[in-house]
Amino acid sequence: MRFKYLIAVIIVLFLGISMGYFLSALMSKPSVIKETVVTTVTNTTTIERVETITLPPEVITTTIVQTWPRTVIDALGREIVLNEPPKRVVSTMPSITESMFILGLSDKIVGVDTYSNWPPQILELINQGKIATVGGPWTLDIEKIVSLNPDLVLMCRGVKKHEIDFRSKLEEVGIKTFFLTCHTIKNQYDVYLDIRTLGKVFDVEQKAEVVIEDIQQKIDSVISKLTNLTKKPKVLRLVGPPAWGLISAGGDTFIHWLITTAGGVNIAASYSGWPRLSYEYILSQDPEVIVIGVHEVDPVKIIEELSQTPLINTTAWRNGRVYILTGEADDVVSRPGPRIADALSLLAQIIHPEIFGEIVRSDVIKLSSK
Amino acid sequence: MAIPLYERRLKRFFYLLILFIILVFIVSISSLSIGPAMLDPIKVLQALAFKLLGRDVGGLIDVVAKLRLARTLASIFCGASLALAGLLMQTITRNPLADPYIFGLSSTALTALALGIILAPDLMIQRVYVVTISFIGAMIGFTLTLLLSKLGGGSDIAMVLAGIAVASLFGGVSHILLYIVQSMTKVPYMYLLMGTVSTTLWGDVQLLIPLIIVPITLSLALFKPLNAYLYGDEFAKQLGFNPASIRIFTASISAFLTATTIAFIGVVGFIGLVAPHIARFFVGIDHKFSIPTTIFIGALLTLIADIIVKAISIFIGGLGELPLGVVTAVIGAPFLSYLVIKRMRR
Amino acid sequence: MKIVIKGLEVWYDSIQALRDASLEINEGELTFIIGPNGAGKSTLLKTIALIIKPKVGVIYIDGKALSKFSLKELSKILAYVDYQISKSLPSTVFEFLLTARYPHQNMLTFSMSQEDLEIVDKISKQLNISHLLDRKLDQLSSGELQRVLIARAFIQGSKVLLLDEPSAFLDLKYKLEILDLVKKFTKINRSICIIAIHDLYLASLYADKVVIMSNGEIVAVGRPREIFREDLLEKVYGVKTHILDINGRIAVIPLEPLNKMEL
Repeated sequence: MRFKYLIAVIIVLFLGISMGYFLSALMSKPSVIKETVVTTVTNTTTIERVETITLPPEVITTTIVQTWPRTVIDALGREIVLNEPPKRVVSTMPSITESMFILGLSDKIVGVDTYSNWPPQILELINQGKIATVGGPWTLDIEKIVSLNPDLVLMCRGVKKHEIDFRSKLEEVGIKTFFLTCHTIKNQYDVYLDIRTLGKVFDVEQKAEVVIEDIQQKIDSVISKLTNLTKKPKVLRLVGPPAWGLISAGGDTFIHWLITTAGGVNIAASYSGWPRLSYEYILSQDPEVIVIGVHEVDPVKIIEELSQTPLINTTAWRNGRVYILTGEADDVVSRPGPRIADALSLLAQIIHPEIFGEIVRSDVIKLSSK
Repeated sequence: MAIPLYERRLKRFFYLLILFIILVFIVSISSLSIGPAMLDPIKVLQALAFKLLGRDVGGLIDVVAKLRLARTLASIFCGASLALAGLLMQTITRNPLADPYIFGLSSTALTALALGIILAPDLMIQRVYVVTISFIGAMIGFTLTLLLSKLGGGSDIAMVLAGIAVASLFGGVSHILLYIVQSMTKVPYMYLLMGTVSTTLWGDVQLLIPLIIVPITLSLALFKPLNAYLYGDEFAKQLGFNPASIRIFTASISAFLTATTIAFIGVVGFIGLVAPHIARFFVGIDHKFSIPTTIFIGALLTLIADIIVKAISIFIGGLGELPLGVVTAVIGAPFLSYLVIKRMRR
Repeated sequence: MKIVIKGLEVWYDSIQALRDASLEINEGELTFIIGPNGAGKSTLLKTIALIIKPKVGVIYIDGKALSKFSLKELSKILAYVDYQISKSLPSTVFEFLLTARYPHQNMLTFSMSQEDLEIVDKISKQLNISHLLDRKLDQLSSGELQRVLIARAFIQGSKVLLLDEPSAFLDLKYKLEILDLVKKFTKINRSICIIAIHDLYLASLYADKVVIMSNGEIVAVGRPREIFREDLLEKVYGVKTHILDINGRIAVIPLEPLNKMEL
């Protein structure tokens, strides 16, 4: 009896090896590198916006409605009735805070989450006690929020805790919640939707349009320079130091969109979410640009540590195109929000320095500048 | 009656051991053949052979071959290590459901890691320190459990309870600390918890092998005290052994093996639980047979699990490198249920 | 060989289990310890086996105090058998019996010598457990397990055998066979054998020397004829008995308890 099992195991294993051999032999080798592989954009006449071809979602209203009370539909599809523009607002996500500031609504903010750190005025206001902190975006302190007596609490769609736990707790005590797209933002049109919605809620619709126009212009100026691309470099994005896991961004993330729109190819595109990669996979993809985002850590040390890993065998390392994004630079690129144009231009500089010039920022460290 | 019985057992052990060694070898070849780089396995093996002779083939194949070898060797040695640690734990706690982590080593290793990142983040980005701090954290956890169990009388049950206490306490602490790490560094902390061989490098393996060979040899030398210990503290004394010393010494070996694997590959469950049972099923409880057998079965199981991880990462889009523990859990959980049911039936 | 026990006192927390126990046992003597429950029979046996540490008192073997021997030396001298064995991990009878030869082996020797295997063989045959060698310990009946445990003591080859209720789970045939074997073993090897037992009849059949205990004290020591007397038994056991003399052997017939329990 026991030996029957063993025979079965042996058969399975022989199948395994043959499978390994056959598959390796039969499959075309899309990424065996002898020299740099070039993927080209074929035509130069039409402007191909890779993956950004989404029609602007239906705008709720394009005419500026002056009347109060008004009904605004939030990102969860709920109809929220507002009697007047809210005066005391709590923001539970850094991108929401940023949007509020850009729209000039900072005086209405009474509470923000602990991750919100832009613009720098926020930190001052918090220090002065004018704005309270209400916990991290995933660990909101409901009691604290309630104690601030807000008219409205802005939350994010796509964050389960917001949608389910926190919302029900707040509504239980009669506090109004309003959801924006924020976390599920896939492109600039989602950003515009949020800004317009905020415009409606706070009666700053004209300002909203101005802000949107501004962002779109910045984005256009980046994209227009990418029309005659002959080459889209392969980009590896890592979150955190390699020693903590080779965590990259899959094809359904915001940063993937940024990389692609900035004229690059995300080597982790076939994965979803935040996958863990292996060194072998990275080497077989041979990225030409490596972007690593870290916080609270000395980026120079990261580069030193990288020299101990197999990543030194990549084209990116050999050409010195390894970029460590820290602090604000990484925030901008990781947060889908109103600074989307800055994020795009940052990455465009990194991916195409030949078009945009070499990036020079204190919070971006490049390998060859060590 | 007795003599032919003994000879039969010896023969069976040798045949089975050779069989398992061959299986490990075959599966290693399989593991070396598979990987996301989709290289021709023959070329990979050639590159490795050349390396042995001191020549480099050069190019991507060389680097990938080395990576694959490191990964395969890590699977083998860490798998062997976990399996042996599990066997030793099951013996000294006289509990077939024990595994290498019952002394709370994983929780304290994580706590140490998290503390390290919070207090000295620049230091902790280096793999050297990640490995070292995890190891130290694990051994501290073991020491705490040992001290606590001594307070409780030092029996096998006291050890188990002390382990549970330490694991629970530091489990909670580590989660809090890891959350702080996440808000500080913006790296999702779940990844620090999960075990994988995908990030092992050649330097790791060079350190791993001597660290594991020594405890393996030590345990084998202890086979007589361990056999006697199985039947009870009093019985062990009868045969001239000191059960309390056996407990401490063996637990230390097991802890060392577990701490080493936690340091290099993280937490991988079920191997330490399942491999000893399979070994005992084939060769009985005599440790001079079960120790060598368990080692190769552990290596085999881990290799197979890693091959599955690689296969999933290549062929099933979207997931990336699954933690080894997920695959071992899927294989191990049904086995565990079977064990529990079998005991309940008694 | 001679065992001398002087003034043993054993306490379990605050309860005194053995009071001033003193005894002399010679080789070749099959000694039985009898007495009611709680008299201290097992305690005395366990103290001699060094499982329990006495508060006061010394045990000498051939003039040397037992506490001065190392555990390894003791394993060659003493073997204690009761029915407690851990069965948490599945072991076969054979694996179990093999461990009994460890006191005579080097720790690092990997193989079993021919002699070791022959001893296991011989004793398995004597105790009729040869057919059980491949069975798991938890698959044995209580009688079979008991024979296995006793076999272990024989295989260990110690000069002093301490048996606690060895015949408890055995049927009539085995009860007699085991004690027969033990008696022969004791005589041939000139070893010392001390058996704690409830069955007075068996004690009377096989004992060379009888030790009767009550309330932690040794009440009397002597030949069966001296101990198996109606008055002594009534005093110690609280039971009326009738003593029969059959072919020179004493048989104790219990009649009725002195204080009958009320319904």
